Amino acid sequence: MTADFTRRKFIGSSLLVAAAGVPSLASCSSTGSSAASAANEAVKLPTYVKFKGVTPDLPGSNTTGVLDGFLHYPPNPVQALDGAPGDGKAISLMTNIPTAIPPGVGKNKFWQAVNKRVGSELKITMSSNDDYATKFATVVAGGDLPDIINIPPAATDQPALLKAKCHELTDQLAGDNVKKYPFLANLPTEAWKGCVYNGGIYAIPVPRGAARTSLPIYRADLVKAKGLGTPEPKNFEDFLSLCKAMTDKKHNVWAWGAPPLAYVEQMLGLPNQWKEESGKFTNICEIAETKDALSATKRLLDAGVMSPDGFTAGNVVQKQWFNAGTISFVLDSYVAWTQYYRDNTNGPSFAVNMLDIPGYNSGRGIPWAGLAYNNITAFNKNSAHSVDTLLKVSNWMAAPFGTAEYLFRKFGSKGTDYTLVGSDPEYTRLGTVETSIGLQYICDAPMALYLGGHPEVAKLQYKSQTTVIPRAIKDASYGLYSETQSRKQTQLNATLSDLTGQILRGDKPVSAWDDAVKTWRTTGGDAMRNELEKAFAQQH
Amino acid sequence: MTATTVHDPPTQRQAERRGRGKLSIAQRFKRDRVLILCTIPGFALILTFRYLPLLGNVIAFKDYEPFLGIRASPWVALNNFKIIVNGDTAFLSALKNTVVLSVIQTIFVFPAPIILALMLNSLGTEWLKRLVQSILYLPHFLSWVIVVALFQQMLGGSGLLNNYLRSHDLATIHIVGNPHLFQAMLTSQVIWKDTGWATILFLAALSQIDPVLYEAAEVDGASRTRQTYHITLPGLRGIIILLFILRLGDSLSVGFEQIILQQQAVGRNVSEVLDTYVYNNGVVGGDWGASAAVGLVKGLVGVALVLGANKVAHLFGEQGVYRS
Repeated sequence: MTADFTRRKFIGSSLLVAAAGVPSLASCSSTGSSAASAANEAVKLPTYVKFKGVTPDLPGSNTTGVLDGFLHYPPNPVQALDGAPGDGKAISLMTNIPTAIPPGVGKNKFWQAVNKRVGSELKITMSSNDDYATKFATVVAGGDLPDIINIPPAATDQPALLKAKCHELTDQLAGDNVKKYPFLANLPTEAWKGCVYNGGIYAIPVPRGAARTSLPIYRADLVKAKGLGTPEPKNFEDFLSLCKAMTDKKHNVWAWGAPPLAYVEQMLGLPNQWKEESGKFTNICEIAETKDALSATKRLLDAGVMSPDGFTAGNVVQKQWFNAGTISFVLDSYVAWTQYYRDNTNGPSFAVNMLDIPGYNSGRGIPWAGLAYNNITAFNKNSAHSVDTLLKVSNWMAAPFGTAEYLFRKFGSKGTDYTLVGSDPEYTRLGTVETSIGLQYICDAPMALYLGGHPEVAKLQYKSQTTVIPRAIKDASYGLYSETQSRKQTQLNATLSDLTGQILRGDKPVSAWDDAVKTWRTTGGDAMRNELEKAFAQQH
Repeated sequence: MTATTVHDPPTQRQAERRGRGKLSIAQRFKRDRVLILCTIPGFALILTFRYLPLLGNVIAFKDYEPFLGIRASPWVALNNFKIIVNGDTAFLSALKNTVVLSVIQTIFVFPAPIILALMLNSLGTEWLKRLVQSILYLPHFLSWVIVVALFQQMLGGSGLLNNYLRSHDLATIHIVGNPHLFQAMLTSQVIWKDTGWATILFLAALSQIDPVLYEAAEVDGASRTRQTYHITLPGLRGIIILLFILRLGDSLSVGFEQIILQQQAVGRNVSEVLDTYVYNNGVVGGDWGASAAVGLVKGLVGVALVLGANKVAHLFGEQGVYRS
């Protein structure tokens, strides 16, 4: 961070209009017609007003999606918002927690301080990342929705859910109206595309973009200790050798805690879910190389580089194994990369890095761009709070890197949750435990590459992003509406994912994939394709 | 004994019973008002949590979306039952797994507490018997999450057993997560967890057997085996048949929580049962209507099995669950 961040700079920057919102298509109504796609297309997305209050040390790019990097937190960050956004009444919300569930509000000073700053008591229902989608489905079924609803991407029939239960936000957010909430205006347009349903804006994105791109993150300290330096596998065989070198069965040490299938698929250049060519859509499961990826991943597993409990472990367990050094690789995102340092209990020697993707035989693989958003949040129609209040609270949660609000939201209170080293906040033990109350999934600032006290991490992440992100490919179905996809994708994916497990365990041959794809096509795959192709044709 | 009963003066209650026809409903209500009052909380509880929710089964005939509500969701007649009639692959696989598990559990789990109760009953030392009983009851109070985690920690790929084997350069044993052993694994978990607890009813029935019978048998020179065969088992017959019929009614419920916790490790093709199918397709997958249809059919099959088994029990001269 080179420039001081002052209130004046912030106010000046918030008035700058960097780019106008691009009208988009996106997911849409449960009526499932092409009319729905057209209605979405007509929606004017929020105008993008980039926050100019801070100057990054490592500038990102709007074109490629590489994120801004900061080596230090701006000194003297200024309060960017006046007054508390809340209305004094308790606001209920439901969110997921990627780490251990933190102490309840009675024993959590950070949470108490958040309540005070927000100006409303936040009643947070939490569940672990692994269970959140199920928890969400159950809460929807029970009809007990909170004021602010964190909707996971896997939720079924989101258009109908949003229409029935949530406020439409088009009037407040479309076009220049969003400027009333400057930090929501600072969210990337690409992420807003995922919030358009039923011909209107129905939600707020939790932006991630490039930060959500997932590649093998590895324990650089453990790899170095094996004398392997900074590994850069040139092909699959190289990667296999690396995994073998990081496995020590006798001491219960493994390269992986789950099958790295997606990584192998990216080596083989497979599409990021849906591929579009001349208006024709093809799903990853239909492409022959998917079977090659299965065979290759099976080879990895047969070589014994995955923990024998690898099919059982969820994400949370894998993160614990990674921290403990039981495994040295995990397929995870840039966000997680930073989080691993925060969760580290190994002392200062702990170091993490990320592998690039080589081609399966040679050359370079094709990375998959992470979804533009982590999840979306919507406001319950039956909430006692005004939409304006809930938007103000979301705006507060989206206060960008460099502001005092961001510093407080992410790091808590000085002296209690963090100490300052130079201008960089470093968590205290209490801060690590207390601050993880899941606010980052209610709304969040655009991601920045930064880790307090570790400028080398921001540099590494930036280097990785500049190599990986410009070549990353998107899911061609993003922003297109398909009713079948909305209603049946979860079930269809579950069936294929189950078969994947059976193949990788050796219970079924790779050839069983063909029949499963035939079933996938007849039970919804073809319908999805047709709907996506129609939506695409309308868009172009 | 019968003659004595005939010549005894009728008790007041017997007289009331005989005169039941003469008492009006109001009179009977007045007579039993305190008892009726006492049943109200229990009745309300059963009505609210057992019978009223049954109305929710109407979603089996609707394209139900929870956020639209039951009324606003459109009727689809018998569409949701198509997966049952047409034999949807996933449903058939769940049905097959359920039936296989049910048969295995009936053969191995059902007799286990009877055998254990007989063994406990044969223990002579009272304090030892109580100690063993208490230890055997304990696992029942552990939740399935704990039990599954215990098995995982002991027998899992990187559990205690395999870590030991691996660190001594011995071949590991693939138990947890092995689809071929999944049914055996489930069954042994149920036996470990609940057999002790399930002995309670059998031990109670055993204590009701008149010791005089054993003494008489012993005088007649009957061995312990003969005594078990001719006195103990006939003494347990009523409770065994009662529990067996109830078990049949529950036979299509083969342990939801226990299975869902271990499903990811072995895959759905061996672990999906009707209950997990309903959950995975309904709650998680959003196909509530079809899931409700499967649940409804499962319930009806359970009722039919209980009624059928009860009838069979009557044919054999047993009391069964109830007499009409």
